[in-house]
Amino acid sequence: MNRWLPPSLWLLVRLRIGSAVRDGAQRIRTPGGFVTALLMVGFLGVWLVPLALLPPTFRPVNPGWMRAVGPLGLAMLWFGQVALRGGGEVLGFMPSEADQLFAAPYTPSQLLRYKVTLLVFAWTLGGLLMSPMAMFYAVRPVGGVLAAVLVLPFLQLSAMISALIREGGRRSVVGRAVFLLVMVGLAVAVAWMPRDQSLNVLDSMTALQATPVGRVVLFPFRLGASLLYAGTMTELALAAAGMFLVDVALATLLVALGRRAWLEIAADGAQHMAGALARYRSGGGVSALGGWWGARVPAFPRWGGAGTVGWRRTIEILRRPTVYGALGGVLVLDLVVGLGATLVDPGVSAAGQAIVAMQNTLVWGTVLLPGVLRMDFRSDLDRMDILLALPLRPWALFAGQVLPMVVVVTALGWTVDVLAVVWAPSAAAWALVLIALQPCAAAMVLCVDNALFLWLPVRTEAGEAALQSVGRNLMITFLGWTLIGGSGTVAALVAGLAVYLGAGMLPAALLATVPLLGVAAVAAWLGTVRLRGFDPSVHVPR
Amino acid sequence: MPGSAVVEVTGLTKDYDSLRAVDGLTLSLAPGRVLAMVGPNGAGKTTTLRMMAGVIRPTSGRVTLQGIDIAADPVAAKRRLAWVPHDPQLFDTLTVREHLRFVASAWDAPDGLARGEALLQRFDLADKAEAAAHTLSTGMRQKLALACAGVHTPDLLMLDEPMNGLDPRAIRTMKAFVREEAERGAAVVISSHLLGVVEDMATDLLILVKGKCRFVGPIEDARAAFAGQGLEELFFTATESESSGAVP
Repeated sequence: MNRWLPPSLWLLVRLRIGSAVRDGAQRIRTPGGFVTALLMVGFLGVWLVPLALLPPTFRPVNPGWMRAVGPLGLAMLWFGQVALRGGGEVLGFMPSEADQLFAAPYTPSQLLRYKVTLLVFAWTLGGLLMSPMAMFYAVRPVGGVLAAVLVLPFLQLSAMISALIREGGRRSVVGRAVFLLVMVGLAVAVAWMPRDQSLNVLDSMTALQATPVGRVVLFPFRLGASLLYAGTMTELALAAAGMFLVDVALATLLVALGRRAWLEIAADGAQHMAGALARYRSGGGVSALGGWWGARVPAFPRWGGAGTVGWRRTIEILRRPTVYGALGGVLVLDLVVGLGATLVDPGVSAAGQAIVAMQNTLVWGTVLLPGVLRMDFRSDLDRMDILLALPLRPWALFAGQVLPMVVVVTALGWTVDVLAVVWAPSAAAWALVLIALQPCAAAMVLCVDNALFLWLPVRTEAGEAALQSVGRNLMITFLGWTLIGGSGTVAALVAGLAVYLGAGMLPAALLATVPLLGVAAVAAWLGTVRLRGFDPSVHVPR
Repeated sequence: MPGSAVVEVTGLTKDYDSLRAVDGLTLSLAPGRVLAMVGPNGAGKTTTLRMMAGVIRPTSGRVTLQGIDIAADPVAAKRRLAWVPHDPQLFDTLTVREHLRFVASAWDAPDGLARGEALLQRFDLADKAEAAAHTLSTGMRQKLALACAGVHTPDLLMLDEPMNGLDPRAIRTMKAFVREEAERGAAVVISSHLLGVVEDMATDLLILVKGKCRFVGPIEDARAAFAGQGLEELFFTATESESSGAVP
């Protein structure tokens, strides 16, 4: 044991795991912690209860489909981890570890082994928590558990090795060239794989894996996916052993690579992480985790101060590359979901695909995106003092903080609507309906979210303290969704009633905007009331 | 002289559940006066400044700026003040110059940007005008916050631990800035633990202990009351005698 880690680092591993368990136990005793635990048990139960009670035929398991799609899906997930996640942050050293350990008398290799040791516990726990979901889709439930526990380290270790090579490569032309060559080589190999045009999508995927290149390149991914579709225990045991050996090989490679000067990379990563966590903790959401670029935004007219605050907020939105990434991601996802409607029902027309894409954007892009990006009051939790000291009426402050994101979400929705009509001109009538509803729905969602946040502010934790705020966050999120869902249902009922009474689609949609705007106005008023009495020293969680 | 006071605080009290953070504070500050607010940690200094800035509401009592009650007409009152909080949180992705533009617009000060640019020069921050706030060091952030405070020529300037992160040259510039603001006619309130530094600038002194005022008045009166002591000795004498009441 002591050859792997010095005794003091083993002690640290034991202390950290022990303290995490102790903290967890203490937290469960608090009301918030109890509710969190209850929600997590409920979440796991949603997957586990059907698994235990229903016969296997009720589970959505299709070994043939899994055999065709699984390895390629896993390969895409792996590529996403390796290609998109970069920087020393991937090595997972927390700022506290960089401060306390990097100047301590340990070799870089020992530190990397310490990190891998700690992560093995974290990955195993994470894998076990995710396993009910995997079990639901596995031929044998135990295969689901093994897949979740063994595939997660495979993805994470690959990303860590990639980060070491890439970040090391930034410091040498050869390293950068090697990385580029590997990536280009992979793309060329996939592009040149022989294809039979007469095959359907699933058969093409199977044929791709049967080619010599496919067999070699996709081997580890086939191993991982076969844990889900293995028919016999022997197949399952072989796949699990193979995946375990791949994980061990990757961990060995990581430690071997770590003998080179990686400390600086990890220290840089920890520093970046410290900044990102601080911004995230301030309420910045995922948008705060990314970088910054200097887009120019001309000043807005003052409009009683709302324009001034809105200008500042717009700059914050437009200078976060993560915002563009999230918007692009939602746009592509909605279009893919629309186009993919034919996979579920081959009889769906082009207009049907367009309508699915537009509705998807209205519901999920509008409800989820603002909560993920948090580019409103939620990212200014630590600046409430400054905002409240501005010589502005509360309505101006509220409008300036909230409206820019309403515009962004509306622009996203309208873009999908326009693209949908270009794809299927016959969907134009539906597009008009959704174009009318989009800004009102966005205003309702953002006003409700922000009013709720001002009345029940919660700090989004990250890193070691993340679990502390999970319960409160979940409760507030559910409350928000209930209010938003209720408002949306009322709007839908109004529209439905109007259509039932003989109104056209567009007039019905215009009628449906009334309850949406009404809820937005009430929420905005409640938000301004709260702003008048907001006390940062009491209401901002520390 | 209440009639000519820039700021008047009357019976200011703030309760947090069972804790009385500020207890019946009364003071007034005339144009050109610099009030040093001192006290141990948890004395209620920041809470007092927050109430004076209109950020939080007092449980009871009143703050008026040039006769305008900040609770009754917060917008009009806030137009006359500038507040630099302790460890000011700037807007991460805005550049230094955009911060000045924002403040000039928020306070509707047409010539504010020019004033701000001059202050950037003064605080050796001009070469960082296009840098994003999150790339600035602690001291630079503090300098930017001070420059923003000067953009709209406030009548009341309130600084909470303004020396935080500043180098000796910047501290000297900050002191000169405070003196000039006072000479212009602004009233200045400085909360700080660096007693020697505030002693150079202050004309008036407020000693707070556990929310209670131990002394408020001209600094000469404090010295006379404490037999000519320096501010540091005076601070310890006033704050360590738990049983003593307010110093006359």
